[in-house]
Amino acid sequence: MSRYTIPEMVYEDLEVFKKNHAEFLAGTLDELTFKTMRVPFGVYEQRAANTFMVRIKLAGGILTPKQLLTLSDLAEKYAHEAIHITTRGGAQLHYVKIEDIIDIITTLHSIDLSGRGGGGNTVRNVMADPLAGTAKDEIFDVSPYALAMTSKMLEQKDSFALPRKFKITFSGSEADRGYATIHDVGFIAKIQDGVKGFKLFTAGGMGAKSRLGTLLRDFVPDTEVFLYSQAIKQVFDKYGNRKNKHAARLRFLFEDLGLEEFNKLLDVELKAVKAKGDWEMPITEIERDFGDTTHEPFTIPENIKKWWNRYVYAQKQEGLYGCKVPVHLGDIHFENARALANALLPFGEDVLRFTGDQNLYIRNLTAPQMVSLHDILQKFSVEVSKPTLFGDMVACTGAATCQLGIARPRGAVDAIQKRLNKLIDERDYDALQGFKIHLSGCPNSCGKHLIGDLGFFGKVQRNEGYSYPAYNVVAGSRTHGDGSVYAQKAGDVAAFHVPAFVEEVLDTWLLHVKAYESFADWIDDGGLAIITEISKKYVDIPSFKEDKNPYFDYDAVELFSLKGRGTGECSAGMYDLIEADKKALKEALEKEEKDYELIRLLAARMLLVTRGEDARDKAGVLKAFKTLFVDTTLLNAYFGTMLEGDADEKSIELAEEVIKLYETMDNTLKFAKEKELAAAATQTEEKSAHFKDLSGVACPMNFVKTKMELSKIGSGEVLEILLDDGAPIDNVPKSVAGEGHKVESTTKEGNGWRVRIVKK
Amino acid sequence: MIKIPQSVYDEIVAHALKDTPIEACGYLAGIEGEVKYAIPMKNTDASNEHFSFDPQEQFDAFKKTQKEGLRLISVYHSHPETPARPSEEDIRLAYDPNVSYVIVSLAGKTPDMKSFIIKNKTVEKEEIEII
Repeated sequence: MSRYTIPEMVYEDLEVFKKNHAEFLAGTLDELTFKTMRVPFGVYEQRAANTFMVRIKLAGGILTPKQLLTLSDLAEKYAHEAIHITTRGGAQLHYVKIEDIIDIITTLHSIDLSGRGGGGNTVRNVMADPLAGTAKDEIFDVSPYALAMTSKMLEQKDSFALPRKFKITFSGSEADRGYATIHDVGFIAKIQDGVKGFKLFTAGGMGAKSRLGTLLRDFVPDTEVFLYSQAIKQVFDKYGNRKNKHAARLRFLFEDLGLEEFNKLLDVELKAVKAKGDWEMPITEIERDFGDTTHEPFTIPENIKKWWNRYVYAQKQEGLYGCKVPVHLGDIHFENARALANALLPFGEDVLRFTGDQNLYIRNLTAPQMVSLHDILQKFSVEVSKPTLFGDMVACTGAATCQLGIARPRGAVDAIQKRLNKLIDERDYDALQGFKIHLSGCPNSCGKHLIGDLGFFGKVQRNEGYSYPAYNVVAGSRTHGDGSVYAQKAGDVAAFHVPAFVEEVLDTWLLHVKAYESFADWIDDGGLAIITEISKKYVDIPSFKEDKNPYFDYDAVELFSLKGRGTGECSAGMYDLIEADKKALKEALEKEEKDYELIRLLAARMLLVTRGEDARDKAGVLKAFKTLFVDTTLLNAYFGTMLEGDADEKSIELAEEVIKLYETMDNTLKFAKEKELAAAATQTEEKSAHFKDLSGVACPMNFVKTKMELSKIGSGEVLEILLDDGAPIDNVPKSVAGEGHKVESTTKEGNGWRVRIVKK
Repeated sequence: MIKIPQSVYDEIVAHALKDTPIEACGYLAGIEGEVKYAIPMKNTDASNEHFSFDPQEQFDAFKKTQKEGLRLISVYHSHPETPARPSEEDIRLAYDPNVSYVIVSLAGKTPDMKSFIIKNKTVEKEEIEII
């Protein structure tokens, strides 16, 4: 059995969803209510209006050739011709029309696949080691556990209304290829006294405030796998933070409670689950009929030897082989998927795995069978004929389609590949077998940058007042059952320079590769400092006047901006801008030869954004700083005298004061001193209708100004603002709502919009 | 692959630089993927973001090349401020799948010319060989 079971309840839920869907199409159900229905079915809206993606759960990445055939049909008919492999080894169909959603879900159910729990605050796709069942180092095959766990979790009503998403995985060995050490619940196979079981890790995860999992039990018998998962889930359900979605994952709760308290609560839930019964998870081993695997010694044809050495591996079963298929950015064209599915049909059900690195594995074939697939695989993606480095680049969808994306990592991957491709004959990239480059468009970890050898996550930078896309660089992660390590911060680079930077890092690593066991070893042994040095060459870009290209992200035809970003992301962009100036200021302060002009300018500019000011030229910055920070008495009048004439060593003092002031700023952009001043002022202020015309004010300044206006009024009072069409109306209301205020209405007014906000 | 003589390349760039800040536009006349000469046209939109041809000029260009046994094998235009990538509008308005679309960008330190084939709203890059 290579599939999970969809319980009756999911079919019942689908009936309700069908009704909601019809009402939504008829216009009798509002968009927001419908959203709460569709997301737990794995239906997400994409960045382009009215296009959706459908997530499909593939437990442990397992799917049969027949299922792949049907997915190919769906991709052809509904989804821009591609099946997308997700970073949890599931599948997605992109650019789907809302009208087609029900047809797609119904078809999926007919082949025993579901998107239920694909999104929202639910138990997400259960992962497993992609080599499960075939790896020579595995303790036992964990695939049946991923399947059984999926069936069992789908049966539980509480799997669909958790405080936040909940991720479970299984690894077959200490190599932790299923990433058990960085999951909410992670199991690593272990046999103790002849009993099958698992080491159990909990509360790990990437994203905001990443955390490595804690070893919760050194041994859990395999019969108790569901018992523990369900009990941990119940602890999360009862005590998880439902108020703040940014601090809602299990790892935050675990940090609050500590191990001891967590264990106490867990014991209560363990008892409760046991008392309720039905906690033993039936395990059905995956049947494999390999036929005759004893063949004459087989010689690999010369013309495919390179491919064989790069991608094919010998399984633990004598005479059987598995093969990794690199899939460019996780997208498989339906024709390729169909050809592969048809070719695999004769070899049984257990021949395929989708993986969290957005590739796929073929398994359980004899050498001649594997060789027979070579030509089909050549069509899959250009990476198939290249060193593994090319196929091991992972990128999230980024700002091209994701509402949260800042940068466009898919375009960056294309640009890196293009650059490295020119060097492929001169460099021994095969010596870097297994080297992983991971990119995320924002600090969220959909591109899993923290577990790459070299990782990137998007940010906004500024040069002379113009924003441009850039990346934070991290390096040197390890995953292992005895202790995983996330990649460490190594520097920053402009998005424009990423390909050149990668080339230089790889060239440098190639000089050391033979001397170290792993890239992470080199990073620990001085490599990190070397990468940091390299990154410094790639952080600056030419002025906007000199070259505009770096101010456009890859594949973007519009100048880089935070336009189109989702909830609360205006504020993220603003903090990036402050941090960029602060970093530059600190660097300027550390230099032996101090550039006082620069220090004064950066100090004066750093906090202007918090007042909604984005002066670009020097005179404007100094003037605005005086008006907003000196004249308002936030800083001592003494500093006002430093803003005229040439800058001198007193600029250092100014810089230190500004940095200190920033440290007293709270989430409402208020400084400690300002609150005192405001308290005095509000006593005399009249409470009346509040209004602010923000037309002509660009993002994120308009958001900052809105925040400032809101900070002046009391809870429950109304603020009305005017915003321009385009990015302002797209962004500001979402960001305001993301901070908990109620956006009562947005109405078109002239060329802009009037937005009515009730303060929380 | 589109082959463009160096002199024509220089002429397109010069046209783009002369017309900036508005977009320059024109046709490339040639045969079998090889450009013979450029036909600079007037951008009736006079905009830095769009271009439109004058119908009479289009007709004249068509007649002239036909008489000479050539074809209009490419439409060129400039992007004074943005990279040499077809904009969404460029893709939407690229009605002819049989011609290439050459874009010269003035956004960088030096002019950057690229060519694209646009079919069914999908863009494929086309190599340019300077001859």
